[in-house]
Amino acid sequence: VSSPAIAAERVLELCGRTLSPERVGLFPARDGLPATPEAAPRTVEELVELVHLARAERWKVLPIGNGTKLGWLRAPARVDLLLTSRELRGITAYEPADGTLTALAGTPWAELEAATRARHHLSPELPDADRATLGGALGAGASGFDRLRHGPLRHQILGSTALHADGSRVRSGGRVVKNVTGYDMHRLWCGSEGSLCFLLEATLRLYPSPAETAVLQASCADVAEGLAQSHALLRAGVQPLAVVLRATDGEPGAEIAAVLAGRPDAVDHEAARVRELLGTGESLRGEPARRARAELRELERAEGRWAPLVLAGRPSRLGRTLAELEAATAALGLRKRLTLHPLLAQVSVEFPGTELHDERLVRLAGLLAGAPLTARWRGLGAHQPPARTSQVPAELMRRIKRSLDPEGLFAGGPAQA
Amino acid sequence: MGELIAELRAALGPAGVIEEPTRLLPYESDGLAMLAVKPRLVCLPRDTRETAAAMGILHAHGAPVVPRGAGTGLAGGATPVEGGCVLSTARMRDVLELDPVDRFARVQAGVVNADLSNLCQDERLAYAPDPSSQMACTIGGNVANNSGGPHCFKYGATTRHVLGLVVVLHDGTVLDLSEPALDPAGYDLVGLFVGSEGTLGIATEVTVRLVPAPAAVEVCLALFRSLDDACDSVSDIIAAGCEPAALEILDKLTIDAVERSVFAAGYPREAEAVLLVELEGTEADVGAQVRDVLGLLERRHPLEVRRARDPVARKKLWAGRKGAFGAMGRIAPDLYVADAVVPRTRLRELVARTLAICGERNLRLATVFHAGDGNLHPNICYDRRDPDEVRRVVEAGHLILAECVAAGGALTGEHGIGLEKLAEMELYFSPADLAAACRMREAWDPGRRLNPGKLIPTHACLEVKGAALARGGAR
Repeated sequence: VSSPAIAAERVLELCGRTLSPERVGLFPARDGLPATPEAAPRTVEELVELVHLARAERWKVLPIGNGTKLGWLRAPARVDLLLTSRELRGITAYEPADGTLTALAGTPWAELEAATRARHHLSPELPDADRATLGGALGAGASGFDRLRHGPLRHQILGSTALHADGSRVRSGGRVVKNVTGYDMHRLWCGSEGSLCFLLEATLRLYPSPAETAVLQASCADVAEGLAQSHALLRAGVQPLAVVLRATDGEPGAEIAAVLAGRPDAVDHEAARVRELLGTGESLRGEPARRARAELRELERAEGRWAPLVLAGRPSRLGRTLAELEAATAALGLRKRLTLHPLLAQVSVEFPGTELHDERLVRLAGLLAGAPLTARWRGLGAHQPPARTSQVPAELMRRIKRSLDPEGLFAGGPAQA
Repeated sequence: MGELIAELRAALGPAGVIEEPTRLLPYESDGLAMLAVKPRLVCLPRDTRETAAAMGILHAHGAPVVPRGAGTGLAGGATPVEGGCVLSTARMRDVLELDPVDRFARVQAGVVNADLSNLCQDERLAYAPDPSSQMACTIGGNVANNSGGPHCFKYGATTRHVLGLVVVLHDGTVLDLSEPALDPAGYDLVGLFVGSEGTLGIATEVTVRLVPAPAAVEVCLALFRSLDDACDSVSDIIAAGCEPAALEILDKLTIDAVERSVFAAGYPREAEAVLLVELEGTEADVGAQVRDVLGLLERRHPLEVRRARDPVARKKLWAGRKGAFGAMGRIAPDLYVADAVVPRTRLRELVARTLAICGERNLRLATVFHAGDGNLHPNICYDRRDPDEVRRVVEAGHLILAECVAAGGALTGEHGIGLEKLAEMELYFSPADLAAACRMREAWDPGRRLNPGKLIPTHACLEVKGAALARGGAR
């Protein structure tokens, strides 16, 4: 049982002694988190001062960027202060010939992309890139639309500097593409929901920018046919950047899109193969392809909010996963729209016309809890079902949390009881 | 002692415990032969259950444990500790599951890297990390060291290929993270564990990602008049945005050693450096990549460029690189294989510095390196019977690392810290960084009995412990 939240007025007043008034305020209620005091330090010194203040006052602190993924968090039991990195921004180092990028945590993802676009591809391709920050993406463990080719975000981070609860600055990894010096602590920060430290700076690997992009889109009879086509692409040796399948209950058929990127001759060759396998459809190049790719990238945040449910499992079990989802949603009378990454076996599920506080979503969470798949809910706030973690890893996570943050300064996270 | 051995024998069977002094000899060191310590005993469990039983017994007796794969590590990570037990995965060699549809394999930790790769071939899949010792090194050892290899340039090191683990913790508790999930359920324990050099637990089972074998592969081998030209060619290839699967360089002394060995590849005498570039993809794509790379190589006026597409001819071009370490035995009785990383923009400069550092100390240096990753392997020739030469080698190794760190590089790209680079950890990390690492270690292994004295300088941990006691907070 957590102690009651500290009065917001007191938090704001004390933070206001360190920061100028425009950088202290009330962050509006969102994604299950009530309106909460927020402070935006502009220097590391200010940040350290706030961390010491929070420790002295026994506040619970949640580090955030712009808060675009607050709904991803397992709802923290108590948050007294949101510490945002958004004023700690800027690119620290970008050496094109090294293929690495180092930036402060509050740097918007779009700014990172703009700086590197001429020579490099920055992975992941995240939705809402104007507002998403480097630190926020890492804290949420966000992976992108290009995951099939480049892997998850946690594979892109090469090193970091983080502020720990005791005020020390801790570095791990480095700024080179290959490095096994010491523990990969930065891997642990990735997806930790800000529960272990405040990320100050991180270094990411970059990939050569593909010279050509093609997007091939086609209709298929249903999701099952789309799944079969996706796997046929793989068997044919095509290595797409992404394959996305869309289907909505009550609408006929499904739409499949394959994104190809690389050398122009290789893209030509693969595009011909994809056309053979998908049949007739649109084949986009140049600016239309870039626009289509940008739209596909935003699908997870269609209509301005995250798909509330993300399911993942093994590719070979995807059909069964979908059948279980179908049975459960039909029983509850829920209409759904699916965005599938079939080759990753990841499915984002939206419920058009259904509010997030609809109790049927909580019941659906219960129905899916026993299925052999990972179900991650977003935006359900306190109704968010707990992650299924067995006892030994859960206890180890709690020990890690206690060892790095013994007083429990940072709120929430996977290790909370 | 007798009681401990009796308990271990009961748990592991008579073949699972070694205590006879002559049979302990092979376990005295790993590939860093200059450090040798006789262990008290060696345990050889056959699976997770036996490992857990052995670890529980060793925990009850307070015995330090040093995990060991094939013992091919080069940094002393598997060097025993005085009075401690070596826990070897040598009898854990089963492939438990190979799933060609979902493209993963689940193997016991003692499975040899090359055996797994060979097993995948029939499914037209591959396990990408390919350390030079892949004919002997184990997947568990690769996990402990986050091992690399030539093809890590394209595919990344071991950490990018591990989907799940079963780990036995310090007290025998089994941590099962074996399901190949897309994202971790909670903190990324697998990501943290890979590369932890046996200090957090003992991996008994590993779930690894398999990648599709490429439809076409071509190797280009360019011979240059100078090492600088070869380094500049690498910079040209990276700057042009080419994505080879591997980019490897051999220097003159290595070429000489190779030519005098069974791996002789017919390199011309006047060649000062060899650059190997492997390209892969679809048939059409590889053809186009090769055209680009040949154009870039020509800029640096190579003496000759050899090309190979079919597997036998490719193997021949790789023979000199793969056999380089073995061939070194021809030029010196002992070899100190260093491992450091530099930013790729400073490759040429740092290679020249390593040569100068060794030259100033009258040491012969044969360099082989993963040029695409900026991962240097300066191999310093010496004779362990000459104490002064050993001293100069150690000094040169330290200076090379210091130069690489000062240039923005790192202490190790794939061999790990082990015992070899403990002192240099303080060149790279601050006391606060090391203190955080100690706290992490103690969250997993409060008594620090697992591979004690490795990876993190001991005094840094003692200082953390002292500070915790001073705060009155026992962990």
